[in-house]
Amino acid sequence: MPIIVNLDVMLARRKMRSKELASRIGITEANLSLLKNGKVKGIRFATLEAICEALECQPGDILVYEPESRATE
Amino acid sequence: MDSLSSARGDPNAGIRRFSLVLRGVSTLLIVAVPLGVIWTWANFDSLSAVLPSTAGVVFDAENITLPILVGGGLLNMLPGAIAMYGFWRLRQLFGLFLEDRYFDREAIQHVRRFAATALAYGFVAPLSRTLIALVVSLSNPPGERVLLLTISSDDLVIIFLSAVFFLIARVWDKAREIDDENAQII
Repeated sequence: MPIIVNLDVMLARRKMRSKELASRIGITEANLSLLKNGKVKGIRFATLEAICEALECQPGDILVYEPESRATE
Repeated sequence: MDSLSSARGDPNAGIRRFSLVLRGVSTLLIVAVPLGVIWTWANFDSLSAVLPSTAGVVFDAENITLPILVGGGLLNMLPGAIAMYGFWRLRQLFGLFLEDRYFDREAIQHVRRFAATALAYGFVAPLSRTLIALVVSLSNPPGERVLLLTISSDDLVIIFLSAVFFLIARVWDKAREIDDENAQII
């Protein structure tokens, strides 16, 4: 999928653990893990808003578009 | 008041209560069908009062022997057994609703099977009546034995309802796909 989820990078920058983020935004760790690994079909605006608020970042810091050809290289 | 507040707190509480009642009714029907058949054929007076009016069978009550009664009862149980299976499927379905499993593959399978059961019932019930009339009139003198085929409006309604349930199952399956997809949106 050409949309890359950079949640791991932002978590590392903010020195925050997945568990803490999950509890702050009100989703399970399992779902956060699926989101981090890009194994979801979509993300709700409400979830995105909560993540941005918790990590003090912009949606573009978390989601990046990379065309298929570049992503497979 | 308590039940009202719990219903407000839990949006599925009403469905669960309703499902519990319907599951109980289904269980009751599973038991009632064979008991009803046995009771009808064991109480021949009531049977002789019912049969001529419903199936147009004219027979001599004194010539009805035990094998005829048993045979008639078994033939009567043909649609009865199908109905029991249908009610059992419904019971399973309501059990899933009690666990909040509305868009489960299993739930859709139960609806499909119930629809198939209703369809089978719609065809088997007239056939059963035909065979019952033949068996009951077997003791009549030659020339007075009856072979009849009756298709009642009830049979047609049941066949129509089975088609409706088949369609509902297909639409339900589409809803399940949407639910699956929704579950993958975080």
